[in-house]
Amino acid sequence: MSKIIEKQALTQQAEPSGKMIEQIGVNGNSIENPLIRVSNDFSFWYGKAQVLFDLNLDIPNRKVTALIGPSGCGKSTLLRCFNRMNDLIEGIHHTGDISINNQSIFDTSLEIISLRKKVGMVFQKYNPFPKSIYENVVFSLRVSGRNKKSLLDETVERSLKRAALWDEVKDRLHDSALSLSGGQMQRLCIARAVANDPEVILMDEPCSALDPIATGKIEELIVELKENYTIVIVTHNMQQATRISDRTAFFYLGKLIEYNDTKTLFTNPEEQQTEDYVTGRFG
Amino acid sequence: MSHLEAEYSEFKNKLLLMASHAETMMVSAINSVIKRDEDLAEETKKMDSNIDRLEMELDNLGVNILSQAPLARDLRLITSGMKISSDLERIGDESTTIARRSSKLAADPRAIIPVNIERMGKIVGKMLAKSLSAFVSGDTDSAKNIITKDKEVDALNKEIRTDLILAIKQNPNSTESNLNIIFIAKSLERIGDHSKNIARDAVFLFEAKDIRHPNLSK
Repeated sequence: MSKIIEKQALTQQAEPSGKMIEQIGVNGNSIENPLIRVSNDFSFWYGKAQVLFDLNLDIPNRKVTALIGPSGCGKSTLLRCFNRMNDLIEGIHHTGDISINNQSIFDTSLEIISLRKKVGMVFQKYNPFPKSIYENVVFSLRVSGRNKKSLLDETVERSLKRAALWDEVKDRLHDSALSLSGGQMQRLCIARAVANDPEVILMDEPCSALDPIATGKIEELIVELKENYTIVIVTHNMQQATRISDRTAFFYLGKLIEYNDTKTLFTNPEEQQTEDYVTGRFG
Repeated sequence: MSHLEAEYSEFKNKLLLMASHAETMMVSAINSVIKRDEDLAEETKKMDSNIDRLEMELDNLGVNILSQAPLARDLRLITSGMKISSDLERIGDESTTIARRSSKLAADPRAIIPVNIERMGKIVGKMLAKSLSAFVSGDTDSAKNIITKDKEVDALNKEIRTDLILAIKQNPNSTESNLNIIFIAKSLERIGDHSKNIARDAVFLFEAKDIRHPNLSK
């Protein structure tokens, strides 16, 4: 047998070393002019259970940032911190800070309603209200007392166009939202989030309940939406993160392991744990 | 071992087997020239089909793995592995060319094999062995050294060609045998180029750095 084959045995012994990983990559948690800044070792507890540990990261304006990691790593908890959705849970507390546009979201002078207008959210399972397509989009405007028909009409058209749904539903705006397909319902939820003209749209596994065609449409939409909005998306789909995100943060057991531009993180990760996770060797 | 890891392992093993065949074939080809061994030349030509078959199997396996969207080092292994397989297949073809020319030289008792051919064969053989070793062991410093060795091979090829063109002019009866030697030198020079490509791919695999065109790097 040739020398090459003999050498293989040597490699198999040497291979697990992190040698090739050590030299590479700039693990940039900080960036210039971020829209969202998680700082001062942000940590978060549900009662006595600490789920996020000492986080510091900057999320850029008008880019797509993906949060990845195995179940229970805290990525959805962090996402829900950005619009203080976790406030609805009893016994939570945090240390450190999160700011959007240099204003702390925990500032006592900040109204939570205005924060949630600024930071919209799209959930894993599409959740349209049992109302018409039109009423779903204008729901938040009506809640805030804005009922002028021209304003509502203009918002519906603009939001549905931004959610790439207008052409499919413009002739049946007053049909029930529940008559739409799954992918269309999810885009309606995005239109509903867009109607408030937020700065940030949070997405918690928005495609996990959709087929590949509907997923493709949502992914296209996310890439278009970043022209106007900052998107933070939680996904378990590594390939989805590579397709749509500009930066990716990898979490494990509540800690930020690596945060970098997406291409670097998925082709040449700096940390062995990231390498193992993205190649499917644990998680 | 998971299903996916088994596929990576099969891919690596086939690539190593192909590398082993290519290295053996190249060494046999040049030995057949130096020793004027017609039997060895014939034997060498027969080896090429093994390399061709492995190239097709590796392509098939690589496409299958790529359809599962590998990432990080796995992605680099498959992309660089498929390129290396293509280089190894070309090394097989060049070795066949050398063996074919070697058969003709062995049948011509008047042919004189220049010492530079043996020297060139040794350098190219080391380049190939080291490039494959770098791919296996991750010794990227050694891989980078191979790239500089290629210039030496290019210079030898040029020297052989110049000398033999002069020899042809001086003795037109030697045209056929000297042309065969010129083609052997050219094939060795090409094997040097393919070894250099393999070394570059080894650097990409282990360091995630593209060193093909340093002038174009940012």
